[in-house]
Parts: sequence; C-alpha cells; structure tokens
Amino acid sequence: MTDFFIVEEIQKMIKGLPKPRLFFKKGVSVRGYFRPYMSLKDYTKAALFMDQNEVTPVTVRFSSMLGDIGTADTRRNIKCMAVKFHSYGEVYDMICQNIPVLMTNDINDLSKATDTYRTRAYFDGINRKRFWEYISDHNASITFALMLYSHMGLAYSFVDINMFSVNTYLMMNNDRHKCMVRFKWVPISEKLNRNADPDKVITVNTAEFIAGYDPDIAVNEIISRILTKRFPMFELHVQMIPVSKAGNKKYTDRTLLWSENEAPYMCVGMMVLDQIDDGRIDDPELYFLPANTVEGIEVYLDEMSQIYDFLLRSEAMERGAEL
Amino acid sequence: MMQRAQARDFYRSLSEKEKTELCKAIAEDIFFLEDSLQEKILEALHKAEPELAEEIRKINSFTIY
Repeated sequence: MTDFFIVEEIQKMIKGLPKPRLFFKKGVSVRGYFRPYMSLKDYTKAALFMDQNEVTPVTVRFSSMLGDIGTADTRRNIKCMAVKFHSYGEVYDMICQNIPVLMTNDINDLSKATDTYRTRAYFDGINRKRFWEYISDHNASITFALMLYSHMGLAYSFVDINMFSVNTYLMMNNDRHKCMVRFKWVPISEKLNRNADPDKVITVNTAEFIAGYDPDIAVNEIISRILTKRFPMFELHVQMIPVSKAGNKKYTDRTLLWSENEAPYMCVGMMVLDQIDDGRIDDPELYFLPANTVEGIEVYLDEMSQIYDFLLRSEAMERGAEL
Repeated sequence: MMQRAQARDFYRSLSEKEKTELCKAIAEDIFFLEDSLQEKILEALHKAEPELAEEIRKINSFTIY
C-alpha cells in the first residue's frame, strides 16, 4: 500500500527546490551597518551620507561569479560584494567586484563576452579558447584579462581584498549640482592586503592545493570572523569627476580606470559586518538591482547599465522575486 | 589606446614574483590552444607590454628530445 503522506512530502521537497541564480551562485549573505566619517552634503543629498552620527543598516552578499555552489573559492574567478543600504525606507544597491574594470563596455559584444564563460553551461567557468580569442580580438579587454590572471583572480578571501563599484554613479546635492562618482571598498585589517608582501603571493599551485583542502575557505572565513566577533570591516573611498566631462568616453567607459592623479580617492565612511543574515549562510531570495538607488544618487545611465539592470531584474523575477 | 597603457601600468606595478606568476598563469592557459591562436594572443599582449609577451613565449617554448 502506497504511503501517500511520504509521497506528498517528497513532492513538497522537489517543488520547493529554489531556482539557481544565473551567475554568482555561490555566496554568503551577512548584515551590518555603514557610517559616514563626515557629511557629504556638498556632493549629495542622500541621507546615508548626510550625518556622521547616523548609521545605515546594510545587507551584503559576497559571491563568486563563475561556477556553482560546489566550486572552490580559490578557482580563478571574479569575487563580488553586493551591498544593500536600507536608508529611511529606500534601498540603495551597490554592486561591486574585486576587478576594477569590466571586460567590455559595448552591449554589442555582450553575447560573445558571456560565451567566454561557458564550458557546458552559462557562467560555469572560463572557456580558455573563447576567452583568449575574445581578448586577442578586443583590445579594450586587455586590462581586465591581466587582472583576472594575476593574484586578483585567485583571491581566497572576500574580506581581505579591495572591491570596486561595477557602475558609475551620479551624485546630486540640494543645489542640483551633479558629479560622477566611482566607489572602492578597502578592507580594514591587521594585514591590509594579503598580497602586499610579495613573498606571500598566492600561486596557482597554492590555489589548487587550497581548492582540495578547503574549497569553501573564503565563505568559511566570513562566517568564522563574525561568529568570533572579529567583524569584517571596510572603508568606503570615493572618486569624483565633474559631470561636465560625462561626454568624454575616458570617464564613462568601464574598461578604463579613472586616474588617481585626476580623481584622488576620498575616504568617506566605514562598514562593519556583524551578523550572519538570519542564521542562513545564503539567502536565495536576496537580489540586487543597479537601478535601486536613493534620492541624491543615481546610476550613470548608458546602454550597459540598462542592460545589466534588465538582466538582474529578469533573473530575480525568474527566481520568484516580487518586483 | 588607453586600455593598453593602463594594462602596461598594471603589469609594471606588480612585484617580480607577481609578474612571474601572471606570466605562468597565462602561459599555462594558452599552452594547448592552436599555434595560430597563441601567436595572435601573444601579438595582442605584446602591444600592451612586450616584456609580458616575451616571458610567456619563453615559458611555452621548450623542446622535448
């Protein structure tokens, strides 16, 4: 006789399977807060930058772009830190990655570019042939390729590396004066950058060893640091360029860095991450959209930022998010 | 081209060990690709930083007797 109760339980288990993300599948979500060091009211009317005595709660998801949840953290990859600021009922999503430039700024190349990350399924790994064919045909991607194949691509920590905003933003103050900004998060730790000591550079051999020994080393580090109250902390640095220069591709092309001579970094605040998100390692319903901004900050709108927002929005809706 | 200049600056900002590891990583990645594609890649890298391309060429050029 068939036990229908067991059959029903099995059906619930199968129906309840979450739909996986398109990319950034493996991740960990945590909570904390952000506090500015000083008021930025000369540059923006965004509440989260107005008062150094106020903190803004944040939800942050750390993830790796390629591979699934079983992929080793030391596999060559792009590390992401997506920060959701909860500011007076509004939400500001700042998506960041550890490589400060993008592979392409041209949406016409998007299909070929994403194809370089498909071996058997989309975003499961670097397809060597397609990747290097793409790089040799697209000079604009050369900086990205060198950074990905350097120690930056083998980062084995989420919280001991610099993170850079994927998008360029516009800040607007109360006088309606705008400027273009890019953000950088710099970790505050005793060893500021694991790779600052040239003798401690992670090699491919070391990365492969760690992949076998502790494939979740980066995820485990965040959880362990929060549970032992050695909270990960980042300082937020900002580069600013007058909006009058927005017509110049040198400042809007995201395959290009802004010169620090022309746009020096200004340290504006600190983020402390002190809670595992609701006791779960990763929240499958958490999503981040470039178009989620607050009053006083907007995404610099070009074709790439619009397409990126559409991609993340569609993917979130497909996973059941109510947008 | 600005991207090439920035790529060159990035490579030159690395320590000697970091440069060696970068060259080895790219050399290993392209080793089993077709010779014509390897040449094309090395030409593209040469335009950004000749030292990088030469180092990769040296790593991948060996003869087994």
